[in-house]
Amino acid sequence: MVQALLLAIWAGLCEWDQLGPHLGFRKPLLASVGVGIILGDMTTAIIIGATMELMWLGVNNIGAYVPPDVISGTIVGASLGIMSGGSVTEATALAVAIGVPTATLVQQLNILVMTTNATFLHGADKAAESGEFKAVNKFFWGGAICFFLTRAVPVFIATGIGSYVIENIMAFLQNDVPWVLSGMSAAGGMMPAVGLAMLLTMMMKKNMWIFLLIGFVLNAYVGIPTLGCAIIAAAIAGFYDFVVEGQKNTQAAPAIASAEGADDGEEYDL
Amino acid sequence: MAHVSNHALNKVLLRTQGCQFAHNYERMQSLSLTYCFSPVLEELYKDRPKEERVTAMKRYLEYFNTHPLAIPFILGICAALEETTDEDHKDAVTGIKTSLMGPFAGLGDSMLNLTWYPIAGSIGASLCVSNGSLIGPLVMFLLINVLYWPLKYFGIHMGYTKGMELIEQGGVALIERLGNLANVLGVIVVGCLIPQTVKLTTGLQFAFSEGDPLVIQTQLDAVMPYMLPVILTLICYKLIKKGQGKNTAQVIIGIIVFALVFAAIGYYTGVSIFA
Repeated sequence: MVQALLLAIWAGLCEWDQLGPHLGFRKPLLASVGVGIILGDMTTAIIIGATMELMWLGVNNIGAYVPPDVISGTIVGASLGIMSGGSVTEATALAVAIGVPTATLVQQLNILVMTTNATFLHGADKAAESGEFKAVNKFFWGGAICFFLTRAVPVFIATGIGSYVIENIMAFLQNDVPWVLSGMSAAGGMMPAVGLAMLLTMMMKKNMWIFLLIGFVLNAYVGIPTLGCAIIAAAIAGFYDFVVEGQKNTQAAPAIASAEGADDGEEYDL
Repeated sequence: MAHVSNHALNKVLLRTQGCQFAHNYERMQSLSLTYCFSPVLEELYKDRPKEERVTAMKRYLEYFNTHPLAIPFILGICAALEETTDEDHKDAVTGIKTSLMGPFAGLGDSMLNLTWYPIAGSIGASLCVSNGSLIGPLVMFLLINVLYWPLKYFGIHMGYTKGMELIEQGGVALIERLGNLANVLGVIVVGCLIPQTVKLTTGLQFAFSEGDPLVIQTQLDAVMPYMLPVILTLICYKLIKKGQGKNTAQVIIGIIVFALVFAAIGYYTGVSIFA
């Protein structure tokens, strides 16, 4: 129970990291370190965290897209995986099996709180009439506590109840339906496709497929790892800018008088 | 009019560590923004009449949404503007604040969320996914924060001292241009992450009465490496695009059902479908 409470607090803190300082604890790999400390099994926690990090690499809060909540998914999945007492591979498969639905459920909860938190905004609107700057503070913290609870409560319930039954569930999965664990490992391997596809729907503007092909070939055929690809990508992006801006200038030159041309020249130096 | 002190700016910086705590669908970051910025307002409006303080607060309670890492910089600019404009020209503050949020959101999303976080995560995870070493999370933590803290700290102080100069010299166009660059960079990185992270291989093979069995995966690799991961990603892309990003939960459930069904078929028939 104490462990469940600590895990719940950790989940709430990770959620605050997501909404504020962005230290990185909102991502599975760093969130799993807390699970490792609380449950005393760092190695398994980090292996599960790294698997989920790769699985949810593309999942990010952008614009109107409300992503699955990777924080509660990781913390619930990794803790129950560790508590199940299976081997590391089995624990990871179980973590995926539990983490993915958890993340999806908490995503719905997040949408709910994003809507109900508007009441704090209305409270703050009224409080602002007093002319006291401190009057809005309590509404701000009200919102903060609601977000804390969206992650803490599900994690507390899931790990609190889960700790009593998870060993039996694991034994059942191992002995009676082993295909569930192998199926969930396969699903975990496929999951990055969803995150990357989400990224692509936001980034694929016109002509961007050219660059997608370049990135794919650099890794799949040439075998360059991520950071190497990113460095080459920076060079290509610079070249792209050079070409696009160059085109703008040649198009603008005949139409606009020389005074405007001087302005364009200045922009190049920036 | 009063001056904004360094102390107040640092207080704002501290408060921006909670810059989305009161997030909501109606006006997004507005309430958090008011909370973050109030140390500066308190200093500037210490001796001003109540009505002016109310309108000052209302200015920040208006709709606002940008990338969290751009908030210190934008608030730095706001501090400088609040200090220099008189009460009749406060529309300019709102105008600048609102005009900056869009470009910065685009730049931050494509540069930081879509590019830097996946890079840091994939490097960190690759160091520890097989052995569970603490080096992985440590490297990821350092990669993120080595970039993020200077952005926040210099963001607010540079925003206050030099921000307006930058905006007047065509800074908004520059930010949009940088956003396009980051987009190109991000797409290339995603292209490189598809073969690295999406794991889908098949163990299917057909045995003949004579000669070697026909191993499907070897055949696929001969045509193109990572063919199944690419096809899977393209299917997900088409589906998510069709659902305008609201159907990711269904796509995820679809993949799980697909994997479980084939794992079950494989188990009961003895054919290895996933390798």
